[in-house]
Amino acid sequence: MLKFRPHWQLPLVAGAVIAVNVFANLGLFLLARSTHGMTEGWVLLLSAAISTLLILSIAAAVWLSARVLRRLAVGMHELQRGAYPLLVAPKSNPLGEHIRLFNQLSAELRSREQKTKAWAQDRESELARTARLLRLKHQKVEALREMPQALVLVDSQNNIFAVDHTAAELIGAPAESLSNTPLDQVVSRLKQRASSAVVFDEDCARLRDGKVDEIQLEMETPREARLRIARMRVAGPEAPPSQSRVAGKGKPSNTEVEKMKAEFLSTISHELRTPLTSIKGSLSLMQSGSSGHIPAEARDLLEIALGNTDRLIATINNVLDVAQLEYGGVNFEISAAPFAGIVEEAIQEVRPEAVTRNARIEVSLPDPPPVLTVDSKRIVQVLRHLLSNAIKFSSPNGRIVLAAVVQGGSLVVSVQDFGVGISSEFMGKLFQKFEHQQDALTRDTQGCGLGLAICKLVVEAHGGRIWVESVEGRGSTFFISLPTQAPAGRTILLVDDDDDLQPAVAEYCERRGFRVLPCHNPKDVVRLARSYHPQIVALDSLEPSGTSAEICGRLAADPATQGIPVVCFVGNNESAYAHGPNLHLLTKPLDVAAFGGLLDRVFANSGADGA
Amino acid sequence: MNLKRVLLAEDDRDIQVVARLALKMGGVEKVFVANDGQECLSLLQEAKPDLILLDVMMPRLDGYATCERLKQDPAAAGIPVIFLTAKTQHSDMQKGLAAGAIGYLTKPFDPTTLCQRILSIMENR
Repeated sequence: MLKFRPHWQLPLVAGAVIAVNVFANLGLFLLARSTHGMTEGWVLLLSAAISTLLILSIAAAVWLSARVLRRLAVGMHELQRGAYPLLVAPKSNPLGEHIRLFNQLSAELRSREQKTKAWAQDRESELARTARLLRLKHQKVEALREMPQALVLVDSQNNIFAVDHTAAELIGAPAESLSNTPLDQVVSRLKQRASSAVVFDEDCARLRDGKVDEIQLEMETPREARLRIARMRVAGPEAPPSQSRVAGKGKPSNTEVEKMKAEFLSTISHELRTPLTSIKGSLSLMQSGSSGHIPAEARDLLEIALGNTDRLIATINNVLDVAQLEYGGVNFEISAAPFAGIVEEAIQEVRPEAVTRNARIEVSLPDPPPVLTVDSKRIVQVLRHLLSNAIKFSSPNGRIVLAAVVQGGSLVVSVQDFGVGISSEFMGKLFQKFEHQQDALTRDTQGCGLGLAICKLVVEAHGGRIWVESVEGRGSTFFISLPTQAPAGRTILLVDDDDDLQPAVAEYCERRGFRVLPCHNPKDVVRLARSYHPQIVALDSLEPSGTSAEICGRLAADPATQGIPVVCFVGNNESAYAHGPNLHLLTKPLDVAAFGGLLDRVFANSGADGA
Repeated sequence: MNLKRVLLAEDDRDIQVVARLALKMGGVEKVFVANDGQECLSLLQEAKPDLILLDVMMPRLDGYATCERLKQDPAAAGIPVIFLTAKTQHSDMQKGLAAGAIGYLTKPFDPTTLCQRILSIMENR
């Protein structure tokens, strides 16, 4: 601690010198008066000597003080420049105490500066550490985005419904073996495998108690990954379809996605048709002569422009049609329709083409012609396309045969031509989108290759089938089978999206006397069930996982279909289904005898006429 | 069948030109054009149309709402309304007919047969 002590020696020394001078001169004066021997000259000489000594002493004291003050001034100057000098303190000089005080001050300041510097360095390193942590955190966020995401779906009973490949790897067990395993068991396994201490319990408890539908965990097992555990909700009779499916933050439900698709298609359709209306309208008006006479060359050009505008309109219509049919956005107007009327309308529509190529269309229908339960406009569309293709791929003056026969509960319609036929390599992709075979006769490739894809979608949406037989160079026959009005009590709607089970099950059912209504597109199930009122709906496991359970929920929720017994062929995910009195689950691989027994029981219970 | 005065509500200027010409070619004497549903309602008194042709997607007031308002107005309820629109889905058509229209024509249309199709709808209603 720095102490300042005011110096008291200087005034004392000065006082003492003056006092000595006064007393010495006074003593000399008294001595001279008492001794009479001393002359005045001696007195004056002594007095002058004493005074001179005194003056010299004072001068020496002033010089010494000035030296110390100069040192202090230099020291202060250096102190100002940031140096912390230590000055030499003269021992004999009474002002040396100030030098010592200065040195103490300088040392104190040096120490304080060092402390300040050390504090600043600490703060600086702290700041750098924070910045590094922030950078690391940012990198971690980035890394998390890259990090593999694992998904575990649990059912309402907190049992595992499904895990993806990454999740199975994290858990360290094959995905199939985890089905129906309690969530707690999987969590303890994860905790054992996690290389870092991860706190799962709180989050898992919140999920288990139904407080949240989804949790996310970041963990390091042999690999670093983000694990998402979500609850799978399956619509039951009490839950409308819009509330079904997996809960996920910000993820639209299937219904919302379908609504968005419908809105998108509606908008795109409007935006494409509007400019085409002006183009087609303007060209047609010019061609009709509304804007004056058109020279012959310009008329040809106008015809090309109009023809291609029509082609573009047809392509747009087909593209939109396929899109709507594929996602199930088409509202079919199913009603009883005499087949003869449908055929007549389709022939009427292709008559201009037939006349152009001088094609002859022969028709052979069963007597009496059957009545179909279909959207007649859509079936006209299918027949028109098949007839148009037959005309296009036949030689001029060709013969086309449209025939129909009733087979069981179906009407099988065939459209036969005797034209170029279909090459074997093209047969496999005939009903795929944007595939078309070049017309061997005309080298004409008009059409965008969507017609047959549309036919397939429309026929299948009616619970029918389409297929083709062809010999290259000799012609082709396209067949479609459509359900006729169903005899009561013997129809099964058989749903299978990948033909995994359908052929075998369909054959088995038909052998037992049932009429099979096939359905390939899961989007069509509820509509077909509403339209045809089958006595049973039999569902294979559909992709993506959970689709079958969702369909069961929708069938059970719809007043028009909720009474229909549903048989599901399931893997090991029975828990995904909302059990109800009309739902029957059969585990795959399918035991045909068990299926037959189940059919008998279901028909017996429903009072229908079983086999 | 009287088709001398037609009020067309259509927001696309190009289609306005084409439709006006098509109607004139078909024998319509006077075609009034409104840019949206609101304007259509305002033009009603002046136009005194024999038929109203309505687009669906229009600013301010769309075709469905315009049709509903026309049918609520005793002075206009008797005027036949036909939609002329690029909305081609069956549900759109049902919505149009439910709003009170007598017919539904889709775009792109053939201008040379537009009047025939309109007359056919009017005759068959």
